[in-house]
Amino acid sequence: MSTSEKDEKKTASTKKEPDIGRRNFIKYAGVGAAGFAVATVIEFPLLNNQVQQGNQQITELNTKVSQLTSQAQQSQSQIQDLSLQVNMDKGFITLGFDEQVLVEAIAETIIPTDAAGPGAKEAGVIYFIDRQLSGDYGKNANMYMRSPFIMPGQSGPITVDGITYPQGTPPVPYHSGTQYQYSIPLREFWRAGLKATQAYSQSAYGAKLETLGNDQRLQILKDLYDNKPATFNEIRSRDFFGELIFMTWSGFLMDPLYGGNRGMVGWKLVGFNGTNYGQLYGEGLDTKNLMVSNKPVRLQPASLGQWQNLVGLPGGGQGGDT
Amino acid sequence: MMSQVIQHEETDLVILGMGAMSGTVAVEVAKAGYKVVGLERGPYWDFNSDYFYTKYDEWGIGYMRKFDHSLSNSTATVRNNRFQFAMPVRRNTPVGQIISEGFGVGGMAQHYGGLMGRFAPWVYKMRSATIDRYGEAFLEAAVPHNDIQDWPMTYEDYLPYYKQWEAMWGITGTNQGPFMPDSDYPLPPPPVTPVGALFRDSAEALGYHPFPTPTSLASQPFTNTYGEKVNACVYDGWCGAACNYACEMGAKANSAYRTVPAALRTGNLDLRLNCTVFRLDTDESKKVTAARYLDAQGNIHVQPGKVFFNGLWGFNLIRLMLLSGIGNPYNPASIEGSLGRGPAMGAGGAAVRGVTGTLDNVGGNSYPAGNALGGGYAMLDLADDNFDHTGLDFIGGAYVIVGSYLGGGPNNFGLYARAPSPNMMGSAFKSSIKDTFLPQKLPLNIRPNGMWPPTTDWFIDLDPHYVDKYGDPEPRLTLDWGMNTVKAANYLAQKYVEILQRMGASNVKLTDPVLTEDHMFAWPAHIRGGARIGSDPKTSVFNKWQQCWTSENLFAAGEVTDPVGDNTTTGGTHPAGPGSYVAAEGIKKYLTSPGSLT
Repeated sequence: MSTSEKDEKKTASTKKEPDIGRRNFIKYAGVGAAGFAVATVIEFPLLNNQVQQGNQQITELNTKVSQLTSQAQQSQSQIQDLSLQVNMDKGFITLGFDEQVLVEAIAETIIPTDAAGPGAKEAGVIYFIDRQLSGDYGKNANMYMRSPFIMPGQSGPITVDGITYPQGTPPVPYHSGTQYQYSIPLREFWRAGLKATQAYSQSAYGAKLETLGNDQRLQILKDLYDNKPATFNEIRSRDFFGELIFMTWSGFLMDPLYGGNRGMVGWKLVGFNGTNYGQLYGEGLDTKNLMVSNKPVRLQPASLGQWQNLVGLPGGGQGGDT
Repeated sequence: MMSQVIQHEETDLVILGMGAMSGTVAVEVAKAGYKVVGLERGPYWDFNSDYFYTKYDEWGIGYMRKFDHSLSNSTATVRNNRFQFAMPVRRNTPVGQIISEGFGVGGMAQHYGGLMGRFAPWVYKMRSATIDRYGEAFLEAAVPHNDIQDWPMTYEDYLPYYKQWEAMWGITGTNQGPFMPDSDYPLPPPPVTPVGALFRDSAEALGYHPFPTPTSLASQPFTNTYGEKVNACVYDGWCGAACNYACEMGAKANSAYRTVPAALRTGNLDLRLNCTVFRLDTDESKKVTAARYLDAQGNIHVQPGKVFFNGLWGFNLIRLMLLSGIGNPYNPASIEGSLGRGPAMGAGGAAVRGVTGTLDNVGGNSYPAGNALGGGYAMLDLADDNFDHTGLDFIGGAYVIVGSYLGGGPNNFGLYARAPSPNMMGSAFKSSIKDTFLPQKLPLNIRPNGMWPPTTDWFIDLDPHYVDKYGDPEPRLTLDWGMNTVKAANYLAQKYVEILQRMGASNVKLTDPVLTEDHMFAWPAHIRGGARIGSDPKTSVFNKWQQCWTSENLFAAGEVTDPVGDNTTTGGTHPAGPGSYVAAEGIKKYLTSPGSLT
């Protein structure tokens, strides 16, 4: 349904329901006023006046009540719409409750909300991570996942399928394409990593990471990089640290289409224009001029979805929630 | 329905993979009236719909590689020497080791940066020219175990083929200065960035000969050799760099928008998409009789042909020949054989050592341009043998390119994700990346593409442990950089310091020398060589006509046939291009009169 269609429907329903309500109020008010009026209209003109005034007040009150009812119903339907939106934007597909709390605390530690502006919290980094973990990234969909699985960092000699390699495994650059040699999907890698991180926080500081101060949280993350925590058994903590940094910054700086970088707060921090090249909002700027200029020009950024809506090419460009 | 074997009628030419080289061969041979079958494992991307609409997506393209071959199908394994176990590249990360193989018509050129420039005369006789000038002992000391071979033809021989390639591909730039004779390019250079102009002026003041960096991004609309109408670049910056963006304008050259449409218009090209070639059949004389491929429904097709052109990229070309029993596989222990011999890295030495500095009076906008280092200037004065190496301990040098902005367009990966570290946490780091794309002061980072000649220690073969999704062995790369790369980079970096100081940069510093664990940085992208052309069948796979010594009706072209594997100047597509015209001419000769060409 397009946004305009939805608006139309909303308006129609808010009109219709108060109509029924108003009719009911008028009906009851009419019975009371008419009975009273029949008894008093001849003999007590003064009273009649008062009755008329009373009736008028009743009518006014009735109108007010009906207005309030209409407003309440309107608000209720807005609340329903809003709660739907909240669920769509802020729901979790795969992160469990304990995981949400921990991932949020780690993301806010890596990118804090501070004087420089909004951080991981406002950017919704956690939703980016949740959506990635439940999709291709978490399932290793584009990864080569055939055996044998041989972990890097073995000095040798090692024997694989009957072949001996005197010098073991080659040096592997940190976070490179050969570093992840685990046989499990990244979703399970994260589950194991988060549990072991929380266990390390408990053993080192006697408390959960999310309850600790900033310095202690940073120290825990540094310890992960240094492979210090003994609570990591299934995976190496340094590998997990790399993934935390990579995914947190990605959630801050990738297109909002993926659930993070909300309000494009990440792009606003780094001065990135997204899909706006100086014409999208009618600025009338020219990329050739921007390219040869040595004066920085701050453009209002745009996301891929905004760009698609604004250019409105055939085959799309409607956006919305159809 | 069960999958079945489908036998096709013989055709004149069968092309494996529809990338940059294949496009030239397809249009040239189809225009000559021969019947051509083109086999491509991917789709035919429509730049107007597929790229224009959804390409502005750093996550989807740069990391999730939505327009690329999926590693879940196949990968390569990598190691530094033959005594190590080779690790499979399991994922694409921004740190490198991305296997950005081609997928779809256009191949890898769909997502290259578009950096162009010919190889200079010296490159074609690197071995003999070095020995003539400095002696054999110098060469062996500079590059121990070196396996450098002269090309079978000279720069002058390749010149007409270069010109054909450049008019078709649409190369921008004026010319490449005194070290590159007769190099007037068909399209004007893109607009010059302020830092490009500053570099030009400073380099000239130091006595160097800078020229606008050649690119394959059309600087103005033009119509190419085959009547293809090409749009101009819009300089939005969503281009090459680390993320390998495809071009939504069709301005960045690749075969899908330069050659294949013209080949289709002849009515002689039968283009088959979603078809994965897995074997070449041969007869007793080792001539290729048919290509076997899988279609989308798993059916096996047998396509016979008179001639075959292997247009697969790099290790895939070598792998298909090894799997099909074609050629003589290289044996590193006895230093015999030629298939898989002599691979090296283009652009890889860049990680060895560089120079950083800050330009105080040149800020600007980092997001436009960026493409192919366009808007910049380059020079060859410190490349090849253009300076005296007497008393030095390495051969060659590097192209110097300055002028495009850092990272080139939308490359947020470059900011933070190359190698995660504890420094990337907290308010201090967050503040440090503020307004990166709107620099008041411009950070410069110049690295020499250190000269990387091949040695007899490096090779490509079939991995004994890992297979692809069809059960065929994966290619295994055994490759490292040698001391020539490191020594050249150290020397060149010192020269770069002078240039940056002349430009008025502050805080000019040499970066730390390379660390051991960085050895596998950025490869296997930019692999060069491994199935060389040459004059000697013992050390090369193909002759000067790009024709296989052992299977006379098999031709190939591409960076993979480069006999020196060097990266002295540019990306590899431009110097590979002439080979596709040589191969096309060779194939036409062969179809007229079969036999070994001379």
